[in-house]
Amino acid sequence: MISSIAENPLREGLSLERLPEPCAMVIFGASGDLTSRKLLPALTDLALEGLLPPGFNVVGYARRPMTSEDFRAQVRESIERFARRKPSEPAFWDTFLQNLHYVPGNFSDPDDYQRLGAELERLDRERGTHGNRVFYLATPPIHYEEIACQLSQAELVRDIHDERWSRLIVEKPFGRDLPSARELNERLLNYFEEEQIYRIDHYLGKETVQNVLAFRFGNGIFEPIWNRTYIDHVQITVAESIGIENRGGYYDQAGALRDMVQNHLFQLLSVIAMEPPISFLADAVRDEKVKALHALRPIPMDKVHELTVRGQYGPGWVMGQPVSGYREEPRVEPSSVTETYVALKLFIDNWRWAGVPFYLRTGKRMPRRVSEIAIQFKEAPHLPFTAAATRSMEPNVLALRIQPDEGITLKITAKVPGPRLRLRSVNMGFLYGTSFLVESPDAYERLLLDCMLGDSTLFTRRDETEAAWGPITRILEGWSELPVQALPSYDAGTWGPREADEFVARDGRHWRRP
Amino acid sequence: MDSMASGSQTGPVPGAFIDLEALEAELARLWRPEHLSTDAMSMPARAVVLNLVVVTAGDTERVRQITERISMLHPSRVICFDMDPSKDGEAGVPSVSVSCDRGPHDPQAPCIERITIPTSPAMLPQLTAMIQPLLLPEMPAVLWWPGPVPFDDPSFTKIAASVDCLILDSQEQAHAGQIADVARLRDTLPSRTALIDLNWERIKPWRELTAQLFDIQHSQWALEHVQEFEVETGPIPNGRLPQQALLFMSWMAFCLSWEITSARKARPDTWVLTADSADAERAILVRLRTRPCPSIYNGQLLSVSISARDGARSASLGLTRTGRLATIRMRASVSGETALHHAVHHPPDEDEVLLAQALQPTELDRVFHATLDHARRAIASFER
Repeated sequence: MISSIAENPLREGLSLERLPEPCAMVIFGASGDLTSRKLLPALTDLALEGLLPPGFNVVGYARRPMTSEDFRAQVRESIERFARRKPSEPAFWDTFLQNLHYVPGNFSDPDDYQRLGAELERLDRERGTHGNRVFYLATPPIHYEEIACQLSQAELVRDIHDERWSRLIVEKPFGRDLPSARELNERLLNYFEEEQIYRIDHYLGKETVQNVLAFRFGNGIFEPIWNRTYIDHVQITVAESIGIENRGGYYDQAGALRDMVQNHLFQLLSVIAMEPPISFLADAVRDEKVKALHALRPIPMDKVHELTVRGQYGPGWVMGQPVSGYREEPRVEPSSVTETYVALKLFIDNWRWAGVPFYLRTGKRMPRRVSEIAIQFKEAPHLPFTAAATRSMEPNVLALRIQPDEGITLKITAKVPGPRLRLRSVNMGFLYGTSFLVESPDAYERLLLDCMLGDSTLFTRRDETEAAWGPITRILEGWSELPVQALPSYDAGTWGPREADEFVARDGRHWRRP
Repeated sequence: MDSMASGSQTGPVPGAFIDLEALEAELARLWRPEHLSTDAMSMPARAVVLNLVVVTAGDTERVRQITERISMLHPSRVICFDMDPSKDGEAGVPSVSVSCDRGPHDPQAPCIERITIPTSPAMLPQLTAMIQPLLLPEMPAVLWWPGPVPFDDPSFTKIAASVDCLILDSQEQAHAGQIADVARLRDTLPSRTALIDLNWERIKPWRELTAQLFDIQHSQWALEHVQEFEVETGPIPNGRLPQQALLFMSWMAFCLSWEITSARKARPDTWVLTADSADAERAILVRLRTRPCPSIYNGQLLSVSISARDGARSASLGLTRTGRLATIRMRASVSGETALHHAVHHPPDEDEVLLAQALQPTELDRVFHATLDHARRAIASFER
C-alpha cells in the first residue's frame, strides 16, 4: 500500500521536490489590494504553470459581505488586470474558479472562525485539501495577533508534530521598532511555532536577489576578493520613481527608514555581507544572514546625524510629468517631517568587513526605479602608466543590478586602441534578461510556492527581523533626540538632497549614478 | 518577445572548405560594436553555455527560427549543417552570422552567433571531422537532429558518439516501431553521451499529472489494482500506432512493473495489449486508440483513463484534453465519490520550449531508458 507521495512509483524521475502537498490557503483581507494585485495573480500563474497541487483551494476571508460567486467574479477581474499570464481557456477558468471560496467574517468574532473551520473541513472532505492549511495575513498589522489568537482558539492551528500542517504568512511591517517587533513575535509565538511562521519580505523572492547568492557562492573566483583587503566600499541603492501613491496615512507614520531600510535594504546588505552558508537549507542560510546583521556596528546616539541623512521630496518632474511634493500628497500632514529619502553609512565589525563602509540609500520620487548593489574595489597599488594615460581611469566596480535590467556589470580598465598608451574604463555587462530571455516568476509566486512546500529559506526568521530592527531603532531614537522643523528637501526627479552628496563626499567618495 | 529592433550581420566566408581562421575572423568582425545595433560602450558580454550542432534536411528556416529563440535561453554557438538531398559532393560556402534581438524596453540585446554550412547527405561520413574544430572549447556540444534519423548509417552513430548529448524526436520517425531503433542507438552510444527524445519531453506533463492522480490519499490504493488502462491520441499517417501512446504505455508498464503478454491491432484505430501485474496475479487490459482531432494534436496524447477495483472499492481516474483542447482536466472518483476535480492549462508544446527543456543539464534519465526497454518489448509483442 502506498502511504505517501514519495512512495508513488509514478513519481520516479519527476520533480517531486517542487510539488506541494494538497492544501487550502485562507487569505485574511481577501477583499484588499494586496490580494487582488499580487496574491491571486501569483496563484493563477502558479496554476497555469501546473505548480499547484491537485486539491489546492483558496478561501477568502474578509469583513465585506460577499458570496463565493461574488468573490470569484472579483478574482477573475483582478486576474485579468494583474496576472502575468492571462488564462484564455474557459475550461481552465471553470476549474480554477471552482477552487475559490469565500467566508465573510469579522477578524475578532469567534463564531466566524467556527464557520471558517466548518468550511475548511468541508474542503478536506469534498475537495481533497488533506487538512493542510496556509493562513495568509494580508491585513493591516493591527489584526495579526487577533487573527492568530482566534485561529488558535478555533483549533484551526495544527500541532507542529501533526502530519497535517498549518502555516502562517505574515506581511511586513513586522513592528515599528525593536520593542514592538519583539512584542509582535512573542504574541504570534503564543499560537504558532516559529517553524510555522513565514514572514514575507518580497525582495527575497526576487530572482535577482537569489542570483546574488548564486553569483557569490557558485563561483570560486569572487569569494577570495570579497573582503576588506580588496573592497573599498559598498553602495546599496533602492530608488523608486513613484511617490507614496495612496499610502499617505501609513507612510507618514512610517517613513523610508522603516518602510524600506529595515527590510529590503537590510536583506540586500545581508546577502552581500554574509559568510558562505554550509548548505542552502533554510536555517543554514538564515544563520549567516543574522550573523551579518548582528555584526553591524551600533550607531551611537550622538553619531546618528553624522552617519545618516534624511530628506523629503518637494515638487518636481519625474519622467517628464510634473509631480507634487510630499507634503501636498493626500493624507500627509502639511508640516510632516517624515523622511522619503534616507542615506546611511554602516560598518560591519567582523574579520571580513572591518573598516569597509556600506553606504545605503533609498528614496521616493527619484529619477528612475532602480535597485543595485555596487562593490567598489580598491585601486591598483601602483600604476606604471603616465598621468595622461590614466586620466579616464576609474576604480573597478562590480555592480549587481536587482531591478530593472537584472544583471552584473564589471567596470575594468582597458587600453584604448591606437598607437599611444591610453587607458579608459569600460563596462563588461552581463544581463540576465538578455542572456536568458525568459520571464522571471513574480516574487510572490516563488514565495507562496515555497511556503506550501515548507521551505522557509526565503522568509525572515524571528531573530533576523529583530536583528534588523536593532540598528534602525537606534537611528530612530537618535532622530527623535534632535527633532527637525523641516528635512533637507530634494526636488522630485533628482537623486536626493545635496546633503547626501556631501555625506559621501566627506569620505572622498561619491554616489554612483545607477 | 514583442516588437524588436534587430541587428544582424551575415557574411560569406572566403577561402577553401571550412577555413576555420577565416570563420573566426569573420565572427570577430561581426561582433564589433559598429556591426551591432547596441550602445558601443555597453555591449553585452557574450554569454555562451553550449555548442548547438544542428543537422537539417529541408526545414532550414524553421530550425533557424527555433535556434534563434532557443539561444535566448541557452546562449549558444549554433553550428548548422544544412543538408540538401538534391546535392552530392562537396560542402557549399559556409557563412557566419551574428544577430541581436532587442525588446522594446531592453537597453541591450542578446546576441547569438551561427555558422551555417551547406552540405549533402553524401558528406555524412565527414561530418564528425567538420564539427570538432568548430566547437567552442570547454562548452558542451549538443547535437540536435530534428528530422528522421538515419539509424542504420554508421556515420550517424559516429557523429552522435562525438558529442555530449544527442537530441532526437521519436515523433518525427515514421512509426512507433522505430522507438526500438532509439533503444538500439542508446545501447551503442558511449556512456558520456546523453540521449534525449523530445517526444519524451512532450509526455512529461502527462506523466506528472498522472502521478498527481495517485498522490491523493483516497486513490493511492488503486495503483496496485489497475484493471484497465486506456490511452487516446490524435492519429498519425497511415493509421499507424502513435509513438506517444506507446511511450506513455511503456512508462506506466515500467513504473508499475507490468509485463506485456500480448499485443495486437484490434481495429484500424485501436491496439489492444494485455499485461500481467508484478505479482502475476492480475491481468491488465491496455487499449491504445486514436481519434480524430484538430491536426495540431495529431499523434499527441488526448486522454488517459485508468480504472481499478479492489473488492468493493473501485476507482476511475483520468486526464482529458478538454474545451479547445489546451486544458487538461483531471478527475478522480473513488467508489462513486469525487476525489479530485482539477484542470491545468497545457497548450500543445512548441518545439523551442521542448528543446529548451532538453538543453537543461540533467542526470542520466533512468526512467526514459527503462521505458525504451519496455517499448522495445511491446514492439516485439506486436511483431509476434
